[in-house]
Amino acid sequence: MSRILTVAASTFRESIRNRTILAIGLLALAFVASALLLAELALDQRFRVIMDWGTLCVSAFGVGLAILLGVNQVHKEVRRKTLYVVLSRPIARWQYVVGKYLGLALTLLCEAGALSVALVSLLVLDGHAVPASLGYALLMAFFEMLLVAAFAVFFASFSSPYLSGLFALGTFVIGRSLPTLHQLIERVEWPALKASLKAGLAVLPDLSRFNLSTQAVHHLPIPPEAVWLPLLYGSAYLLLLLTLSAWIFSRRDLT
Amino acid sequence: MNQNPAISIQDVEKSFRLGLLRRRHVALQGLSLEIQPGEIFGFIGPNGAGKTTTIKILVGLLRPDAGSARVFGREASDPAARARLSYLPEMPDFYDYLKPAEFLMHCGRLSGMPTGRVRGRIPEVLARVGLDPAEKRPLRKFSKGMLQRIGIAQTLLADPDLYIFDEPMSGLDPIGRRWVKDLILDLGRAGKTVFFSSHVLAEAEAVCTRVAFLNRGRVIGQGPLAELLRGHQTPTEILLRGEAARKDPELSALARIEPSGPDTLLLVAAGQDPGPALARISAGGYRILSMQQPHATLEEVFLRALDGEAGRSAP
Ligand SMILES: Nc1ncnc2c1ncn2[C@@H]1O[C@H](COP(=O)(O)OP(=O)(O)OP(=O)(O)O)[C@@H](O)[C@H]1O
Ligand SMILES: [Mg+2]
Repeated sequence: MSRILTVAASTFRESIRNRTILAIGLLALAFVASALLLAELALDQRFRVIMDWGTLCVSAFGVGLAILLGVNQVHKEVRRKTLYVVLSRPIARWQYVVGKYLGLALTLLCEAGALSVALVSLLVLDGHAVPASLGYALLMAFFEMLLVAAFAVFFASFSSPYLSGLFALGTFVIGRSLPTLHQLIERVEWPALKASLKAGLAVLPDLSRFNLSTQAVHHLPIPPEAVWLPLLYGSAYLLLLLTLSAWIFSRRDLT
Repeated sequence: MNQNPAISIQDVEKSFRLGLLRRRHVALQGLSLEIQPGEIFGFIGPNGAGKTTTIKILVGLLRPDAGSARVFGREASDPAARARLSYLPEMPDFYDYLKPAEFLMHCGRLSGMPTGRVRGRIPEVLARVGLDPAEKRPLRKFSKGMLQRIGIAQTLLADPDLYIFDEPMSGLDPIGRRWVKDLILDLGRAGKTVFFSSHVLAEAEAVCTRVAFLNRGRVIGQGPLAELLRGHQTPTEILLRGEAARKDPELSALARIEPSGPDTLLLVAAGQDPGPALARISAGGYRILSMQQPHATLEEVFLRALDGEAGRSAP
């Protein structure tokens, strides 16, 4: 366990000291803050605009960073050979993969946390009450980032960073539009194709369930199962992805 | 209790698949080696011989296609086998943004050392490799030589029994190479086992208890270096001023005479005593500019080892 945490701590430290990642974080903050500008244009709907734009920014930058880090973390260590001095020590490969993932999750937590705090401050500054549902929406958005990061790590365990980036982005986009896609598939006439498309979509997680921003914006009630069901389902997914990644990584030759 | 060898490699085969066609490229073929605890072992071979591949198998980064690699009796792929070894990669490159002390803490923790013990070791180890323990710059700002030193510091941290160094002297200046040699000798005196690779024969000299020559993924000779070099002598070269000696009939009977610019080079055949030639030189009043016995180069020793190999396998 201490070895996993050591890997996580170094990963986290490397990430937050990385200039590019810092720049992305600052840019994201600027984007969230720009909600105030947009609100000026919206006249009577200031609350809605700040909420919409703010949650969109938190999610978009979070998922972007999740893919970027997830795809690059391990690959960069393989390419730069920094991992030789890690894996030549008495640590199992799976411990390394889990540690990397935890470090990555911690980085995401910092970024998403900072953006969330910025969003809440904007709302307060602009004189709005902060709805409790925003808390749930942000929690779910964070969990979605974790899931996307796990996908990125998984794809990166067997393909190049560019490809894995594309795969992870594709998974995110498709995962977010699953309900729409299911509706489209219903219209497919050919049963064999319909069945295989359905099966194909079934392996992907329905990420639209992690998007509660509409409820938060419109003060809609969020039933408890809309939170814990996706969390449960997402956790199972995440564990599976990490297990697979660790398994693939343990079998790899590191040249 | 019978003692396990520090390293035992048996009939290891390894090939890489290259390109889209997945063509097989053989890196190691039937490699076997055994190194006992306390040995300082030089693993010598030209570029592409398979030194790094062998070392990566030993530290568990690669798996052999066939055969077995063991460290103190444990299969190299078992993380527990790595508890007693440390590894200096070829041309090491480390985390960009960590400071030396942070990097060493990271390494020590990964080796399973308690935080307190690592903290105590860091200044010792940094001092041992000649780096300032108060160094605050991140590793990305280090020069190649400093990275090599940090790389070595990292291997000393947990005080393991076996040190595996891949080309520890490459990229260092002569002082740095001298320092690495001394360090290896110190480790040897402390009873540690050192296994290091090099493509320069001279680097193994005066350090190794034993060497193995590797070529195209095969060991083509092993034993104490002096023994391998024996019978592989080179002519003694005596450089004389001017051209006067060129026409000396007595000298030409004792040695081969070649012009060397304005001067004259005398070559006393390998294994022959240069005494008589020297006597004649002083009798003739010729002036000696220099006298030396060049070392056999890796190339020469290799060619010989290859000949031996061919001779043995011939029917
Ligand atoms: N990742 C890889 N993919 C394909 N071939 C490889 C790979 N790594 C090594 N090889 C090949 O295996 C052979 C042995 O390589 P290796 O790196 O072990 O040599 P070396 O003795 O360490 O050489 P050097 O002195 O240049 O470091 C070489 O022919 C090399 O081309
Ligand atoms: Mg090499």
